[in-house]
Order: sequence, then structure tokens, then C-alpha cells
Amino acid sequence: MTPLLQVENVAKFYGARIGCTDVSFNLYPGEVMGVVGESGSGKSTLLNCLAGHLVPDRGAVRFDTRAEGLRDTITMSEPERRMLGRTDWAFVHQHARDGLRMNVSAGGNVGERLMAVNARHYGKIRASAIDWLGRVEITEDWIDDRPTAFSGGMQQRLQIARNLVTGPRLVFMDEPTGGLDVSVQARLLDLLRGLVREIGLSAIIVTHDLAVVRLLADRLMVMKDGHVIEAGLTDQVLDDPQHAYTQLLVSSVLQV
Amino acid sequence: MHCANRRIGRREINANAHDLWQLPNGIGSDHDRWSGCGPCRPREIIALRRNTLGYVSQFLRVVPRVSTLDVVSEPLLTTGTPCTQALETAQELLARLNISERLWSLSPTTFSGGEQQRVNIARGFAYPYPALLLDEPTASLDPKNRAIVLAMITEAKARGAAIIGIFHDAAARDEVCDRQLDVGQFTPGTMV
Ligand SMILES: Nc1ncnc2c1ncn2[C@@H]1O[C@H](COP(=O)(O)OP(=O)(O)O)[C@@H](O)[C@H]1O
Ligand SMILES: [Mg+2]
Repeated sequence: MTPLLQVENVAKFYGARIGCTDVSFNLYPGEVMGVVGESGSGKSTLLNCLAGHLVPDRGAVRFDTRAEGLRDTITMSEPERRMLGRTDWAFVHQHARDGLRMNVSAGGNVGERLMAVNARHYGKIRASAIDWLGRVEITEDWIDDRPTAFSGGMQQRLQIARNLVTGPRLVFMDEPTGGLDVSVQARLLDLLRGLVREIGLSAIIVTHDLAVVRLLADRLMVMKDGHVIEAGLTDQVLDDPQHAYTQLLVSSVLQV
Repeated sequence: MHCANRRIGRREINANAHDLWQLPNGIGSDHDRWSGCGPCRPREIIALRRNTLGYVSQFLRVVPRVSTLDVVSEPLLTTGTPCTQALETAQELLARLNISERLWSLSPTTFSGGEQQRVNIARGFAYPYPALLLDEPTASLDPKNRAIVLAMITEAKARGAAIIGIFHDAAARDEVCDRQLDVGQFTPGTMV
């Protein structure tokens, strides 16, 4: 089977400082990969390199494109990469306001993504928007409201609807449940689990919350100082950590 | 144990359908996973877990606030069973395992140990996996529910499932196990 994403020796430096380095893995369709590590360990840098937001200094990031199979997204042209960003990838930011247009209605936020991939029929766009708002449990009567009126959890669900409406194959998420109340987090986790199952989404989820990866990710990478120090199946890594740092990470949370 | 794992993942399951092994607890049990599986890549193991190999662990790990019915029906939904049918199966299993109907819409996170174990068993048996791993499935059950779980194991065997179980309970293992393996001989430091 062709991997959906093939990452080979990716490295990104900020001057002399390591952002992330020597990262390699294959992600297959339908897999959810978690990336954990303390703040500053390089998780966001890696995610942004994979999603085409940052240009790595070394390595290759190959994505299984619909038309031409595996293509290196680093060396492809900017318009090509931007198009992939619209049609095949989605990026869920930790702060919903970074992924939403705050002065546009909820319906507009979702519809806009569809128009970016050339949807033109107003009725269909609106129906699609309503469908996706419903899937993330936002009722139709909110469609004309701006996200500024929404609670944090609701903004995050709107961001997810906006991202998934175009049917992406790979979703990048940076701390998607960070900063939310525990009960709101739980609802979002349940929603994400359902979506992953129903659509067969592939996802890379960056978080510092081991409980989130336990419940969402099939596989796990542990990062420290820009390096991947341990990787494997999520329960394998969490229940039987091999690296001293992972052991520390696991033992310092109450129960995951 | 890594060798044993590899065999479980690769061949042993087919070869030993209907067989039930028993391992006394203490070693291997919870830490005995798929690490070191040379030929099994993560995605093969992920697929294996999704469609082939059920696992009833000693711990119920669920998303908080998700209802018991949803927890139990999830393995069916994951393997493509339509929603109404999945919920029906989940209800039947919960009823059979004497989980009171008023609990079905609640999250099992606050249930008693015995209730959580039965929810875990319902979840593990919801989909007819060809192979099952059971970690002390009768450990915290009263005699009535223990008998029900043993009957479910017997039924799974009858439909052809290969099962590897860890049983402390000698009477239970005599009732359901065809073969027993004393892993004491593999305990590190006791090599002869
Ligand atoms: N734009 C930047 N300029 C300089 N250093 C940066 C920049 N972004 C991140 N870093 C550094 O790179 C390292 C990894 O950061 P980051 O990827 O944000 O980690 P994480 O997401 O795991 O918290 C840190 O040492 C951080 O200080
Ligand atoms: Mg970060």
C-alpha cells in the first residue's frame, strides 16, 4: 500500500537552534498519528513543515496526490502546494481564531472553503454548510452568526467543520483541544473520533496531552529537543515506554 | 515473549482456532504487547486490531462523557456495521451482562469496578473477532456474571474464535481452556 504521507529525514533550523531534525515516518490512509513532547520540543515546527507552512532545511515530504501519486511537497511549485492545501489537507489550529475568519458568519466560514475549491452553486454550498455545522453539533440557527459570538468549544467545532467540508484526506491538528474546559474537550474528542471513523480520515495530531493521544491516535511519536526519541503504537509507547524521557512523561501524569 | 507475540500475530491464530490458552498472571500479562514484532508494521497491527484481534484489557479506557451504549457499539461501527444494528447488539450484550438499562446512556467512567469490567467485556465481544485476547476477564465479577462471561467465551470458541486468556481463576480456566501455558518458566531470572 502506498503511504499517504512519506516523511524522510526532515529537519528545520532556526539559525543555529534546532526546530526539529531527523524526522522520518510513513503515514497510511486511515491512520491517526499523535505527536507528543513538552513545550519547545519541535512539534509545531514539524507539523508546519509537513503542512507546507514552513520550508524544511533538509529532507523530503512526499504526499500521495490523486493525480500523480507520491510527490515531494517541498519541491513542488507554490501554486501546486497551495492547491493541495485546499483540496487534500486541512489544518486545525489550537486557537480557533487563527483558523477562522472572525468577521464572517459561521455559514460563510464553511462556505468560503467550498468556494475556494470552485464550488459555485449557492444552494448546494449552503446545504453543505448546514450539513457540516450539524455534524459538529452547531444548529442551523447559528449559521448567520459570527464566530465572535461563539464559546471556545463551539469556535473549535466550527473550525473543524470549515476544515472538513472540502473532504480533505489528511488533517493536521495543533493542540486541537488545548485551552478548552475538560468537558468541552471530551465532546470534541468524541466528535473527532466519530469523524475519523466515518470518513476514514488520516490525521497528525500534535498535543502535550497524553490522554488525548491515548483516545485518538493509533500511533505515537515522542519528541524532545527537536528529535523523535521514541515511536510506536500508542498503547505500546504509553504502557511500556522504552526511553527514559518517555517514562518520565508518562509517570508524571495521573492516569492516562 | 516477543517471539510468542510474533506467532500470535502471524500464524498461531489460524493454526489454533478453538484453542484457549491460559497464562497465570504476574508476567507478560499487561506488558506483553507487540513491541519487537519484526515483521509486523504498525499499520498491519492497526488493521489487525481493527478487524481481527479483539482485546479485553483490565482497564476501561474511554472518552469521558461518552455513553455506555456508544462505548460498546464503537467496535461494530468501526468495522462497518450500520448504526441501528450496532446499537441493538450493544443493548443485547449490556442486558445479558446485567448492566442496568438506566446506566446505558451514562458514561461508564464512574461505574463500579465490576460494572466497568462487564462494559469492557461487552465492548470486546460486540464484534465477532476471529481472535481474542482476554486479560483476567472474570477477575472482579460475582458468580452470576462470571458464569455469563464464561458462557460468552464458550460461545466465541464455538463460532471458531481463537482465544488467549489470562486467568487467575483456576475453576474458570478448567472450564474454558483447552490448553494451559505456565509462563512461570519464562519469568526473567528463573531460567533453569
Ligand atoms: N520562529 C522561530 N524562530 C526561532 N526559534 C523558533 C521559532 N519557532 C520555534 N522556535 C524554536 O524551535 C524549537 C521548537 O519549537 P516548536 O516547534 O514551537 O515546539 P513545540 O510546538 O513542541 O512547543 C523551540 O526551541 C523554539 O524556541
Ligand atoms: Mg507548539
